Amino acid sequence: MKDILSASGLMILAAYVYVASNEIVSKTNMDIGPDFMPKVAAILIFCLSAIMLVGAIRTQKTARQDESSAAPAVEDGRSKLARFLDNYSDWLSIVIIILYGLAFSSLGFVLSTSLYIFVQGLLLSRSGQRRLVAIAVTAVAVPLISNFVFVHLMHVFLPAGILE
Amino acid sequence: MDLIVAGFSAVLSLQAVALMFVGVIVGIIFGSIPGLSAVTAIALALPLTFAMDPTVAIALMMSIYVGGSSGGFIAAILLNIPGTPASVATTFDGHPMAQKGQAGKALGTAVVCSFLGGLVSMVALLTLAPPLASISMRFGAAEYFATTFFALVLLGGLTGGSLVKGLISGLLGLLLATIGSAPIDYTDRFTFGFVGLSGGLSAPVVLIGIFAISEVVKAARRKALPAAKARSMQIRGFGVELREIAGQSINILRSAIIGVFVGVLPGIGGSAASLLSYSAARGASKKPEEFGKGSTEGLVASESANNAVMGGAMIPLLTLGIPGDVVTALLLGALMLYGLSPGPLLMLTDADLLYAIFAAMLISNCIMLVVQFAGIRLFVKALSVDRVILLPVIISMCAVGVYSFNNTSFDVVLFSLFGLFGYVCFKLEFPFPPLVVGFILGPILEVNLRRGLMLNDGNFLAFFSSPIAATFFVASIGFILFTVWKRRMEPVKA
Repeated sequence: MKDILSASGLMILAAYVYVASNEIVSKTNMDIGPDFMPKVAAILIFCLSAIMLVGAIRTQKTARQDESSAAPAVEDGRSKLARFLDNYSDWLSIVIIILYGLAFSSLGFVLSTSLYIFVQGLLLSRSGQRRLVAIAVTAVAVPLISNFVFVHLMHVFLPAGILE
Repeated sequence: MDLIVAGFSAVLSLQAVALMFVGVIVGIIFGSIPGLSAVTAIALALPLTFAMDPTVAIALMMSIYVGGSSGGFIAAILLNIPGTPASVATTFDGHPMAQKGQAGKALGTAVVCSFLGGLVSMVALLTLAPPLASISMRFGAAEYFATTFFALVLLGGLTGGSLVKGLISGLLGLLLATIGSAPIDYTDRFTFGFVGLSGGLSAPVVLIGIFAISEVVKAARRKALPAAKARSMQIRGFGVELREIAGQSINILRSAIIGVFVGVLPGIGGSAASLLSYSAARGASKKPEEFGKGSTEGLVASESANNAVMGGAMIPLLTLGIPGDVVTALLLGALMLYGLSPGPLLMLTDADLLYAIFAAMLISNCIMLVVQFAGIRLFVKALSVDRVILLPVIISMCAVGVYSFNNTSFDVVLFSLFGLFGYVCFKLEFPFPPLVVGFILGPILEVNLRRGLMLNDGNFLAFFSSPIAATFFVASIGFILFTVWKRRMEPVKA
């Protein structure tokens, strides 16, 4: 099913790239313009995705049989939150990192990094291994020390954000 | 001979050697932090050298270059995050070795091979500079296209699982490379109105986003997160039997030669050199199935090649005044600031300084060996740091690296989005190596294809009239046929 979805998604993407390539207006008059390479890539992605889709549909039947014979999920004694964190901690991490990226400029390096390290640390340290103090100290110390080293010693400019 | 002696004596002063030590250490630190590189370090050090004697200043620059080129393997091996784009191939086998408890051996192998690769390239710089520069002068669009096409075809062999997914992955990389200004006519493509995309996606954003973030996210998925244990904490010498390294002499030499040659060709860079050598080593190996699972051969190939690029890249810079990449462009600027004009006349007007550059590189390479040798134990200890603490810190350092590359927060947002993209690819089982290869080689392929077609009135067959290009095309076709034949034979064997 995963392959069917990804192949279908890629075919849509390829079709979009091909159509969007037609909209590229070249600044000069050339036989081989800036739309050439994206179109070639789009056509090849479309064809290969179609091959992948056919293969995935063929194997789906076998996969269904495997799924039906799979053992049903066993309820364990963990809380709903613990199960949720275990199941979605990867996607939650992605969301946290994207929020960090978005806040990097507005909140500034020190503040956004402190918040990120703290929240990401908590998420990574689930399963009864909470090390709150260590994470909190790291979340405060690392951004401050690295800000000093990068900005004042290495002269690497970093955004100060609301602390400016 | 007198000039060589003069070159060495010029950079063997106490001040120069001390500064080279500092330069190598700074270079290694910048090289090991994903996103930061020798480019940043050289740019930051440049203003500090204005008051120095030109020879000492050049020695410092070279030491940063050497340190920065070798530092990338540390994060690649220990964290599966390439410190520099040139160490992408090091992650393929270096990290699996570390996971198997052979972090010390992997680091030791990387140190020794970096040193040997650098040594071969410096000998090449001294002896082969004039003939290699004249060969590269014959490279036109057709030859560049053919070489890049050959590299892409060879690297198709990196696909471990589904061939179709590997190819799609490579094409997605190619597509990502088309974002931004098109080559030749600078028409904006797929920028969606974002000015920050006009210059295209920078390599650190894509590479660090995909590799670093997916590592943290994969770690978050695991229920327990213990610190990785290095079973071989007791490291003797370099952590690797020198006999084992000696057994890899052909691999080292082949990879270093590939590195030197790729270094000579402007615009291709260390990442292509290490990937190409990796692929060549896999093709020549008796155990190709071990590649990607912790093969010493793969690690040797990658690290020998990416350090050999240094000497190669210096050849066109010093003999023709043509910088092959950002680092050498920066070095060109630095040399001009010191009153030197790199080019064919440099050999006549400032031969002593030319040999001082060579001597500085060679001495820095030796210093790098000493510093890295002392550092191995320290690097391996990094493995025992609590990953709950380490991984978020790594991501924040990556964000600093990405931000400082162009000084724009937009890149940090892109970096986080590429983390999402990389993780989706990982979940859907699309391999990373072909994606990276397509992204890195895509622009070179496109610019030379379009340039070549323009020169030949749109006639692609004219590409075959060049003997060099024709040889590469024939080799590419041969490799494709061989791969298809090999894949057909595999089920029969099974």
